[in-house]
Amino acid sequence: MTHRTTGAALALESITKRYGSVTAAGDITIDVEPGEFVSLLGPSGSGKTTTLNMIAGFDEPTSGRIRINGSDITDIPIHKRNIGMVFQGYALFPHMTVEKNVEYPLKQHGFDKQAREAAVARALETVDLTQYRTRTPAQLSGGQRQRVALARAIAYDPPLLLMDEPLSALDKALREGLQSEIRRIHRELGTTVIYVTHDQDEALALSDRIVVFNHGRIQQIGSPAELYSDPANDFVSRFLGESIHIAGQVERTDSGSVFTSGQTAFPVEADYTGSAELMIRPESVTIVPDAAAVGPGQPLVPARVTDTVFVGHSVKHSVEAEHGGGVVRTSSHKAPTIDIGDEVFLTWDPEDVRVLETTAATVTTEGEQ
Amino acid sequence: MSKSRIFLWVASVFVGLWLVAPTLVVIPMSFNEQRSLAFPPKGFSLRWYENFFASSQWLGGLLNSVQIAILTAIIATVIGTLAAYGLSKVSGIREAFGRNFLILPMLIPSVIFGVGLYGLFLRIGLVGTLPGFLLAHTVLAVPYVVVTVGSTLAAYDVQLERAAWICGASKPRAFMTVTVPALLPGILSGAFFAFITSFDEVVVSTFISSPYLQTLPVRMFSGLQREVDPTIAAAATLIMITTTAAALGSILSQQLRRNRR
Repeated sequence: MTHRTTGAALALESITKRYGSVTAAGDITIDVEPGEFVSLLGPSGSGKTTTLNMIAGFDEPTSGRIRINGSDITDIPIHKRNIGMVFQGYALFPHMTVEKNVEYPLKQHGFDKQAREAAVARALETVDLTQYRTRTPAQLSGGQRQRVALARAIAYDPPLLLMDEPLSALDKALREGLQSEIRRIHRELGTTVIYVTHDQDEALALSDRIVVFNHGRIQQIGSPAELYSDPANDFVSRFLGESIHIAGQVERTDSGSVFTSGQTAFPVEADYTGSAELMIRPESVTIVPDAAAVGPGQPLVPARVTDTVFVGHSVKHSVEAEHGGGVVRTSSHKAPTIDIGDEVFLTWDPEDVRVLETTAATVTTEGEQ
Repeated sequence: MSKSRIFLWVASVFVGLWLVAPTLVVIPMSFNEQRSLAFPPKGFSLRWYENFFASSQWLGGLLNSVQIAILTAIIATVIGTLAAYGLSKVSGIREAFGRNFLILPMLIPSVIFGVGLYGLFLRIGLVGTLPGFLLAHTVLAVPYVVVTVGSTLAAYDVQLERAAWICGASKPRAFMTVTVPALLPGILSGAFFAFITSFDEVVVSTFISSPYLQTLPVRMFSGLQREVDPTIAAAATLIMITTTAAALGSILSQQLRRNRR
């Protein structure tokens, strides 16, 4: 496989979709580099699928423009957009064989017979389904069907590939296998990919950048590492990865900002004062059995263990503190014996903490969870 | 075999006979040697079949019926399929009104429809013409197509069409290359019902036929009122063979499609 297409640059310029008074997607602005793999991540109803449908042309934006390689495609009909797409339910044509399915877009784009045959062979080889080419979709397993859908989407080398939760109908082992296949195909073809998912692990594993959606709005755009270590708000921190959250107040003193939550207070890095939420990732938190193990001035929060789950490489503890809680992990081979109901103390390196301003928006999100 | 199973068998055979026996009685009647519509028949002869094929009225009636039924099936299937597809794209009051409006001809008593149509056709000179028959029979046949194609559409995955569009097919092309093949079982059985509806129709056809253009059922019906002619039994047997063949064809084609999947 030496074949490469040039991925397209995609620009969403403040696109908005309203249904009556409901804004399904509002003020969506994303700049996608050629060849980039960008995931649209969010819970259902967050606007990610609406955004994808507007790129594909299934939905018309109420306002805003969509550009591919600089040219405005907002008013161009779907079949002239030159986009490949993989659907959640495969959407294979049931009356056509695997081969005919993959050939369909090539026919519509006016390739001659010889070019079609070569492209079909290449696409089926890419997804490793050559020996199934004369089967009908009904004779294939779910994973094979999704690979046919993938082959059909890439067969005519579209510079932009859209994927709408392509793996959500498959079981976990199959999903992980196909994830690496999608990553490989993306690497080999160089196509720009827009990938919609509600699965944070999938988004983290696949993407160059992730766009986090909630309530029809973009919450944050960034690389997986950026989103994980530096979430823009409470919603992003909760949606991506595990964490401990503690509510409190940031106050400014002579020696810097201090975070107060109940009986505990410790210095933090923050450039504002008022209500705030502290976010710490589980790998930065240490569980200590008694307060004496921690020096004065260090973060120390009493908590109760509500659940303990052994997950192989680590043990996952759900903890509840007076003003928050979340998940802590301990290594399974040197685990201190911690049982459900134990009263423990949580501590961490102050540098590993993010202080998130409590806003009206984050309060709504909390209410929903 | 358990008692309840034996009972089930007996009951099923009884109901089956009850449904088809009156229809089957006409077959032996058509081989009667004497000029009567008697059952059981006396003797055996093919003279009524000879009579049927020798008479331009009978044979002409059959050919008219087949021609009208085939053309009606084609027109009604195209219109009904497009209507059902259109209805699947709207919702609420528009969908409910549209669907019920299209099904109305199935519910209106044929006599009322026939009288109205006769008055209208008389004015515009369509009585006893092929276009007149096609217009009338298409109205009667479209509801069957709308219902059968509509039920196939209910299970149709609209993503398929979107997939065709994104693959580069224009909307009409996607409809012809993806939607129609996916709906084909429903379309074929709709066409079959349309054919039967036209081929069987007697009430409305009686109103709009003339001595120059009669369908077979009309010919039979008017024949029965004047004379006792076993040729009617022969004609009835031929009609039965035609409709049974059409039904078998429809069932077989669906079975073939199902096997292919």
